[in-house]
Amino acid sequence: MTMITRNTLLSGLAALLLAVATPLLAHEGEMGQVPNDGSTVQGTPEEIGIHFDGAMRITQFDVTGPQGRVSLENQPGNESTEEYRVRPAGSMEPGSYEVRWRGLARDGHMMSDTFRFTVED
Amino acid sequence: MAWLSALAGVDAWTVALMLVTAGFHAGALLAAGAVLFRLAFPGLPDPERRAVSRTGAVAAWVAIVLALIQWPLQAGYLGGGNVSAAFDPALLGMVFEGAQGTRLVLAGAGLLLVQAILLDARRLPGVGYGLSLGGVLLAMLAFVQVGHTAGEPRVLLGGLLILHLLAAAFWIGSLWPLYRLAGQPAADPAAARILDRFGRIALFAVGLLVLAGAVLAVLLAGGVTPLFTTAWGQFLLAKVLLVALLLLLAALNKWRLVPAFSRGDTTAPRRLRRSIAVEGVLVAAVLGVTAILTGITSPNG
Repeated sequence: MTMITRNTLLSGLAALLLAVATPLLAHEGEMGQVPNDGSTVQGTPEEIGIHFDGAMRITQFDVTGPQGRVSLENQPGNESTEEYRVRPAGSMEPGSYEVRWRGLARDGHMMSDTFRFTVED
Repeated sequence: MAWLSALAGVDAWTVALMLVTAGFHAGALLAAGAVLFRLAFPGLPDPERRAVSRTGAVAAWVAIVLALIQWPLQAGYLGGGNVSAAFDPALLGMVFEGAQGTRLVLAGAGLLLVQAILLDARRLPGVGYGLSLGGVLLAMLAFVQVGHTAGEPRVLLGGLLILHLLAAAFWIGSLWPLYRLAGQPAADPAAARILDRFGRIALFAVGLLVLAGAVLAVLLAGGVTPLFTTAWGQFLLAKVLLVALLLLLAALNKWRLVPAFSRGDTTAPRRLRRSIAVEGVLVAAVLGVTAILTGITSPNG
């Protein structure tokens, strides 16, 4: 390869980089949780959930607390959603709770995360 | 440290999934690399040619089996990391319907076609090469179905990843035949010629690998800062460090050991073989880090 073609290639690449030098967000990121991660709520929260900036198929959503696994109502199926919300089936004891979820993004990436909140009397 | 907390929440199921993924990557790249190596060296001595073809074919079968094992492992992961989820028809169906399913079908078809490398090139000229090269391209397309390179601008990201993978495959696929050739007595003219020619092709291939990888990394991360602050960036830096070590060894081979081999230095074959074996270990480490990088972290932070 001659120096001239190599330089042309390199400047072409540099131009390309400048043109698209913004973060590329190919798959859906977690946007927020209900209740917020690390927050404290008074009494049983009406809803527990997460939302994304794109469609996600949630495949696991477990809430555990001082009494073990919390039973949930209205648990949606595996269909694509930007908003995943569930309701606790009964009242939740005061204490700290952890939500673990997993899901499949549109681009095939399997995602997983955990968030925590505290319930006070 | 972001990378440490990314590893902290990893369960045994995820570790198994990552190991199988790394094995699949190794097998698929080794198979593709065998095809590319044979194309680059049409004049290989018969025993070497057969050894490369056999290695490629076996690696392709291993990759097919690992890709099939990945499927229930992915379903199991989605269900929380347990055996009953791994065989849950709804989860298996969800994985197969999506991008992972497309990847599985393309990889399976491509790696089956790679078996054409075993066809006798003298009786069926061109057929074996054509079919196996088609298989390599299908297998490469499989890699761009999943993850951030499947996003926009897709042609650019996918194209860069394919160039990166083709160069990596050529390198990985060359290690075993070069190790065999380096076992010949020093100054063996056929071995010396191939080793020297490899050095020249590798210079171009490695340039392509590093350039395509670097451009991809900057595009995906959106800058240089995330390379230091996110777990994804930190694992990427670990990968870069390992590749830098690989490049050092490759440079040592090209500029010191291969010329010594050609001169007939009797210690050269042993030293060259040892260096290639260390390259193999480093490649395994690179693939392991890549599995973590693409499996449990994301450039989004």
